[in-house]
Amino acid sequence: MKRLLLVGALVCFAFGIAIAQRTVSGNVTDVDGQGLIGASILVEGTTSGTVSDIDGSFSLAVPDGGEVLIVSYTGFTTEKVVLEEGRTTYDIALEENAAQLGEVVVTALGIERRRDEDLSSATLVKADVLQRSGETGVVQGLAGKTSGINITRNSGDPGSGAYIQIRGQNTILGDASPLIILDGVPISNSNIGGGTGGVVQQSRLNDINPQDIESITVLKGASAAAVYGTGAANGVLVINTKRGRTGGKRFTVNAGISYGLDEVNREYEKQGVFGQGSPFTTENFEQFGSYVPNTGLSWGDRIADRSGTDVVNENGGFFTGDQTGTVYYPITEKGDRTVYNDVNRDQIFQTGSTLDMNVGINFRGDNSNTYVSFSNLQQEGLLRGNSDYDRTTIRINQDFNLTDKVSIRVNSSYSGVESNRIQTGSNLAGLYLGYLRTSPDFDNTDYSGVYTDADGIARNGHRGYRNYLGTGIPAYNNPGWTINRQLNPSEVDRFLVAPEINYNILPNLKLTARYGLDYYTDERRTVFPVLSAGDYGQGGLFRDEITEKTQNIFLILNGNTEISDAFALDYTVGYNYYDNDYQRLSGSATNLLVPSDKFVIENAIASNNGSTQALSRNRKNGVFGVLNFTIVENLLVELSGRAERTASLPDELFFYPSASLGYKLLDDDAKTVSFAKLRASYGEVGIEPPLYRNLSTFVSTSPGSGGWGDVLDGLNYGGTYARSAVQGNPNLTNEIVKEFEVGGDFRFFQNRLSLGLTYYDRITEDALLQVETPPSSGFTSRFANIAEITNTGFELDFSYNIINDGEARWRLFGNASHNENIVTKLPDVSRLILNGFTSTSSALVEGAPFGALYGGMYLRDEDGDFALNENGFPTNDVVQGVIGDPNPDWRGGLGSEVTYKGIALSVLFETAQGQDMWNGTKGVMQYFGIDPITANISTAPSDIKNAAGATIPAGTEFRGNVIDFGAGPVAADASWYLGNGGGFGSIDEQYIEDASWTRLREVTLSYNLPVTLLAGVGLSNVSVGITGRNLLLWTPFEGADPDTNLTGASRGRGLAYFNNPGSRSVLFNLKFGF
Amino acid sequence: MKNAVFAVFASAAIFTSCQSVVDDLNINPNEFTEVPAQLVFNHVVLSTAAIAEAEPLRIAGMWSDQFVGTDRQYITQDRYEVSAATFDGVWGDLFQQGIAQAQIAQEQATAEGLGVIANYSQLLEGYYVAEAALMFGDVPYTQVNNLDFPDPVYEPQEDVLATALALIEASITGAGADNRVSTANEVFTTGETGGTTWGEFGSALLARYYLAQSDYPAALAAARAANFDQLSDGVEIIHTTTNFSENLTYQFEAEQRANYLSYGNDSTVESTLYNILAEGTPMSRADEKTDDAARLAFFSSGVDQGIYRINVGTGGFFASDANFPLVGYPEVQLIIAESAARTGDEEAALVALNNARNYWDEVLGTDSYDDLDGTDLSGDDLIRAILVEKYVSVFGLPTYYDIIRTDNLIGADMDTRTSPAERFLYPSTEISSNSSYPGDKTLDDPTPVFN
Repeated sequence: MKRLLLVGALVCFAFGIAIAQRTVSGNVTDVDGQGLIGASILVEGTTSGTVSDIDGSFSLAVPDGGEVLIVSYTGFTTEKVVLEEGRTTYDIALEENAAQLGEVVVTALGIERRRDEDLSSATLVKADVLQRSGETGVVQGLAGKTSGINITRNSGDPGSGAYIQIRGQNTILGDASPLIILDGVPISNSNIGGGTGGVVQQSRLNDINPQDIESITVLKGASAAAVYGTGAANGVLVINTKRGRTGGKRFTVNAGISYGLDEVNREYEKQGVFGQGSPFTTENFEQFGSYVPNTGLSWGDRIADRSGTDVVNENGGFFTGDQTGTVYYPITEKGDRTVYNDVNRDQIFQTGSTLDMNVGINFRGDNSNTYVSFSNLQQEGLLRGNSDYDRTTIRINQDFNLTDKVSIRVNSSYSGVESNRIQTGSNLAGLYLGYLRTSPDFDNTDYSGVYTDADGIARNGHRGYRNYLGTGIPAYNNPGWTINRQLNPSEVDRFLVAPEINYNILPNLKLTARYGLDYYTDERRTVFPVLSAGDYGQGGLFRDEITEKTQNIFLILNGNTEISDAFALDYTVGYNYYDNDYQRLSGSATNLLVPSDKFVIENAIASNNGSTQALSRNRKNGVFGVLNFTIVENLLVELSGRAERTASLPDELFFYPSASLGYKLLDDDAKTVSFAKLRASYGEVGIEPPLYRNLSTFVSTSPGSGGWGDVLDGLNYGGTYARSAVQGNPNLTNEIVKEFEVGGDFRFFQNRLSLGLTYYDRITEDALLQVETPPSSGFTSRFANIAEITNTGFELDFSYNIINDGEARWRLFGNASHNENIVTKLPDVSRLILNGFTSTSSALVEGAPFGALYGGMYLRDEDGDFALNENGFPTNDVVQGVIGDPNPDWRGGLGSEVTYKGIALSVLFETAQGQDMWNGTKGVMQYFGIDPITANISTAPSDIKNAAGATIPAGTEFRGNVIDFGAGPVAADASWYLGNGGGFGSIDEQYIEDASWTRLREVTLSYNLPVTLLAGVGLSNVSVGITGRNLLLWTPFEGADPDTNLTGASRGRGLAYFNNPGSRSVLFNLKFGF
Repeated sequence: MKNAVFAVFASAAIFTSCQSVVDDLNINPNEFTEVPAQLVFNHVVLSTAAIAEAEPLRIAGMWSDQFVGTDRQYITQDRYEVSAATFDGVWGDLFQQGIAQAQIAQEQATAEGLGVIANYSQLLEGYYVAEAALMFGDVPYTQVNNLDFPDPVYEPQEDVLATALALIEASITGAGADNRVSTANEVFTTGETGGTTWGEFGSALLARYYLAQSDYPAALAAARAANFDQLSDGVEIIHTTTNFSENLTYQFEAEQRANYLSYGNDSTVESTLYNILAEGTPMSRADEKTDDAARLAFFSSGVDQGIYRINVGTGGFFASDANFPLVGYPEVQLIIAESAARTGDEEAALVALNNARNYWDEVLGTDSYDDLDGTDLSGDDLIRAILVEKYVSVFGLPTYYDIIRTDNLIGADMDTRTSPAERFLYPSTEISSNSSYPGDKTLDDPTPVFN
C-alpha cells in the first residue's frame, strides 16, 4: 500500500518541470542579520519559488516576465522585492510582525498558520505562558489561559492526572478526552483507572516534559478537527515541541532549576469536643454520650468532662507501639482529656517539595539543527510516606537537509516515570477515610506494633481507632498504616519516535511522509500488608502490566497555487493509518502465606492466586483533504473532509465534511479598528462504537451482594459463567457530532486590543450508550445509538497591550466561556449512572445537564415544602432525582503581565461559577460526629422531639442543633445525623453544595539579570523567579478544594468522597543560558 | 499541475478501499461468546446464595427483627427508610442473574443432550420465580428473557407463583431427580447418610411456597414428601475458608461491613430474636424444658464495641466455613408442625416441633431441649410456639414470609412500624427502564398471596 503512494508521488513529480530563464540568489534574514530558514520566496504571478536553506540563503530560477519576488516567513511581514535588471544577488531583511507573531495557530495537520487567516476558533498558548505555572503536567499549565477548555485536577497527589474537556461532553461511551497531536502525530492520553477507590492515577500527558513544549493549540470546533474524523469529537490539542534553532549561534544551552514547596490548600475541620463513643438519644441527653472503644462513631462523652487520666488494666494483654514504644493497655475508664486532631493531622501531611532540573541544547550544523533536552523532576508529596513522583525525560529533535528538496526530521523522546501513590476514596484502606473519621480523642501515632496477650504470646498488630489495642484488623486503616505500610508503586517507560521526510517536489508542492510510534509500559503494583483493613486483611499483592502501542502513518501532499490575481488555492490531501494495540495483564495473590510485604506473587495458595487480561487491537484508516481558497484577499473559504473506515465497523465508509467561510472586513494596522474578520463554519466528526460491543458474551461470575462486597467466587465452585448483563448489538453505527460555529476576530487601537468571539452549537446524533434495560428482560443494559447530546456556548478571548514601549510592557488578557451541555434525548432510560454510588452518582437524565448529580431527595408536598414525619423531621422521597449540576455556568481567566527592564510580574486569576458538587465527605463526617456542626451544644427551647421520637425536655442541653424544618423546632441530635440527616441517610440532596470557585491560579515574579553583568562570566542570560500557584482560593464549598474529582478523569463529575486533598505551591526557579 | 492534484486524489481514494486493514478485528479477545451448559448451570446453582444468604437475608432479617441494623445504611434500612434503589441488586439477582440464566442453562443443556442438568435448572428457575413473587408481589414472568419483549409485563403474584410451583413440580419427577443435590455441581452438599435428592429438594421448596400461600394441606404433603427424616437432611451451600468462598454473613460482618448487622445495641435496642433466646428478658421463652443459652451463643458472640455481635468466630453459626442451609431440617420440620397443627393434627405437630428443637441439641452437643407434649402446648399456643421456634431457627426470607403471612403473630418488634412491611419495593432499574412498569407500591401495600 505504501508502494501505491510512492507511485502517486512519482506521478506528481512528472508535472513539476519549469523552464528557467535566469537565476537570482541571496539571503533572507531578520533585521539583526540572523538567517531565516524556510522562508518562502516566490516569483509573483508564477509557480516558481523556493525556500531558504539553513543559513537563510536561496537560489531561484526566475522565468521570463518575472518581476517581483514575494518573500514571506511566519511571524514576519511579507516583503515584495522588485527585481532589477542585471542584478542577481538580493539580501532581504524581514521585519518581525509582533501582532502576527503572537497570532499564529497550528492546524490539525500541524501546519502553522496566521491567526488572521484561520477560520476556526482555535487558540494557541505559547511555551512561556504555559511553563510559568511550573506544573509537572503539560495540561495543568493550560488552566485559565484560553477559553473553551476545562481542566480539573484529580487531586494534589504527585503527578496526578487531570481531566481535560474542550467545550462540553459529546459522547457517553467514546473517548472522553481530546485528541492529542504531538508534533503531527496522535499520541495516547489514556487515563486507566478511576473508580471510587484505589489510587489517583497519573495521566499519560504528564510524561511529557513541559520545558520541551513550544506551543499548544487548542482546536475546539468540529470543522477544525474534521480531518481526523473519528477520534476528534472532543476537540484536539496540537502540541509542538521545540526544534533546533535555524539562526544565531551554532551552539546554545539553556538550563533551569526550580524548587517548589507544596502544601494542602483546603482541609476539613474536625470537632475536638466529644470523644469516641455512642450517643444518648433516648434519655440522659445532657450527658451527651458514653465512651465506647473501637466504635466508628465520635458521639461519645464530652472530653472536657473526663477525669484526666485513663484507667487501664495492666494485668492482661497489651500492645507495644513500633513508632514510639508506648505500651497500650485495655482502658477500663476513659479519662484522657487530650485532643489529638493536630497530632493526627501532622502524621499525614507535610510540606511537599518538587525539584525540577532541565537543560536544553541547541546545535545548528551546516545542514542540520538539533534540539536535545534532559530533565529530571522529583516530587515528594504533601502526604507523608509513600507518595512521590520522579520523572526523567530525554528528547532529541533533529532536522536534516539532505538536499535542497529533501529534508528529514526525527522527533524522539523517552520518559521514565517512577511514582508511589496513596490509597484514596471510598476505600477502607484509603487515607482520608481513616484519617477524617478518626475520633478526636484518639492518637494515631502508633499504627503498628506487637500485641502480647494475657498468656504472653506476642503477634504483630495494626492499631487504629477502630482497634486500639491492635488485637486484630481495625475496620479502617490507621492513616499511618495507609501512607507508610501500604505500597502502590508504578513505573512507566515511554518512547515516542516520529521520523518524517519532507520532499519539496515543486517550490509550491510538498510531500510529507510521517510515521509516529508511541509505546509505553505502565507497571503498577499494590501491596496490602497482612492486617490491612478491607478486603485484604490477610495480605494482598497486585500487579498490573499495561502496554499500549499506537502507530500512525501519514502521507500528506501539500501545495498552493495562484490561479489568478484574485484567486489563490492551498490544498492538502493525505492518508492516515492508525493502529492501537492495548494489553493489560494483571496478577494477584491474596491471603499471603508468608506474612511479608515482599512482592513475591507466588506467596499464596493456588486458589488465591489470580490473573486476568484485557486486550484490544484497533485500527482505522482514512483519506483526508483540505482546500483553502483566498478570493480577492478578503474572502477565505476552507473545505475539508475525511473518508474513513474503522475496525468496529469495517464494512462501512464514513465521510466527515467541513466547510468554513471567513471575510476580512478590515486589515489596516494604522486605524482604530485595525482588523476585523468574521467567520462561520460547519463541521462533522464522528465517534466509532467501541470494539466488542457487537455480541453478547458470557462472563465468569461471583454471585452475592456485590455492592456490599460479600460474594462467592465461582472459581471456588467449579467455575461459573453467566450470559453478560449487557446485551450485544450488531447494528451499531457511528455517533456523529455536527457543529455550527460563528465568530469574529477583531483588533483595535493599532492592534493593541485584540478580541476573539465565538458562538457554537453542537449536537451529537446517534450517541451510543449502554441503555439500561429492565433486568426482567434478561439483560440489565444494551448498547444502542439512541441518545442525543447538545453543547451550545460562547467563548471570548481578549488581550490588551496597555503599555508597550521598549522598556515597559503591560498586557492584560483574559477569557471567558459559557457552555451548556444537555442530554436532549435519552429514550427508554430515566437515568444512566456514569460514575459514583447508587446513592449519589453523576448520571445522565433526559433534559438534564450532562453528568447531572443524581440521588436521594427530600420528600416534598405539592407546594415544594418538606413533607415532615410525625416527629417534625423531613423524610426522603423513595424516588431519586436530579439534585445538582456539576457543570459550571461559566469559566474564565484574567491575567496581567507587566515587564519593566528585567523585571516581569504576571498574575492569573481563574474562576468557575455555578457548578455543584456532592460533598459526600462532609455528610459522612456528620454521621460519624466529626463535623464541627455536630459538636454544637444546644438547649431545648421547649419540649422538642429528636428523630428517634424521644422528647428532650425544655431547658435540657443536648449535643446537636435546634432546627425548624417547618413544623416547629426539633432536636437534630445523633439520631438525626445517624439517620436521614447524615451522609448514610437517603437524602443526598442536602450535601449538594455550590462548588463555584475563584482562585489566584498563578503569580510569577522574575528578574532577568542585565546582559552587561553576564558578559564576564560567559553566560548569555540568567533569570531568577518565584511562582505561587493556587495561593488564594475563594469558594463556598466546605472542607476541600472543589477542583477535584473522586473518579478521576472520568465522565462522571462533581463527586467528593474522601478524595486526597488539593495543593497550593510556591516555586523558586533559576534559569540560565550560554 | 491540476493533473498532479487529481493523481494524488485518485491514489488516495485507492487507500480508502483498503478494507482489509480494518477487517476481522472486532472479535472480542477477552470474553467468550459461548460456554458449555455446565458452567452456566454452576452459576445458576451458586447464585441461589445471592438470594437466600446475601442482602435479602439481611433485609428480611432486620424487617423480621431477627437482626438490627447498627451502622450506616443499615440503620436506615432497619427503620424501613429505603428507596427503590435499595432493591436494584436483589431484583437483578432474581431476574437477570437468576431466572434468565436458569432458562439459558436449560436451553443450552437440552441442546447439548444434558437432560439432567436441564431438569435441575428448571427446578432452580422455579425457586427464583417463586422467591421473586413472594418478595415483590406482581412480577414479570412469561415475557422474561425474551428478545421479543424488551419491556416485560407484570403478572399477578398468584399466577406467577403457580407457574413456579408447576416448574418445580415437573422437576421432581424429571430426569435425575433421584440423585443427591451434590450431583452435577460443587455448590450444594447434603448429609452423608440418606441426604436430600434433587426431587426432595423440590418438595421442600414446594412446602415452603404452599405454606406462604396458607395452603396447609399441600404444604404438609410436600414437606412430608421431602423426606427430611434425618437431622443431616437438607440442602446446604458449601463454604470454606478460601477467599470468597466464606459464609456470606461472615464476609459481610468480618470482612466488609463490620457492625452494620447485629442483634442490637448494648442495653438499648435488642432484636426480638435475641430477646426470645436470652434469659430474663420479657420475651424470653426459657423454661424448664427450654434452655436457649447454647443456641444464643451459637448465633451471637455477645457484646463487643457496644453491640450484640453476630457469631462469625470459629464454630459459630456464621463462621467463615459454616455452610448455609438453603433448605434446612428445622425449616421443613416446622412447616410440617405448623401445617399439621393448622389442619388439626396436633400430635404430629408436636413430633415435628420436637424434632426441630432436638436438631439444635444434636448440632451443639447439648441437652437443652426436652420434648414438649400436649400438656405443654395446644391450639393457638402451639401454633405460636411453632412460629417462634422457626423464628429462632431459620434466618431470613422464610421467616419474613411467616411474619407477613401471620401478620406478626409472634409479636416481633416492628421498630418504627406497627405492622410488618408487606413487601420489598420495586427496584429503580425497572422504574427507569420498563415501559410496562405497573407503578410504585409502598411497604404498606399488601400482596395477595399473604392476605
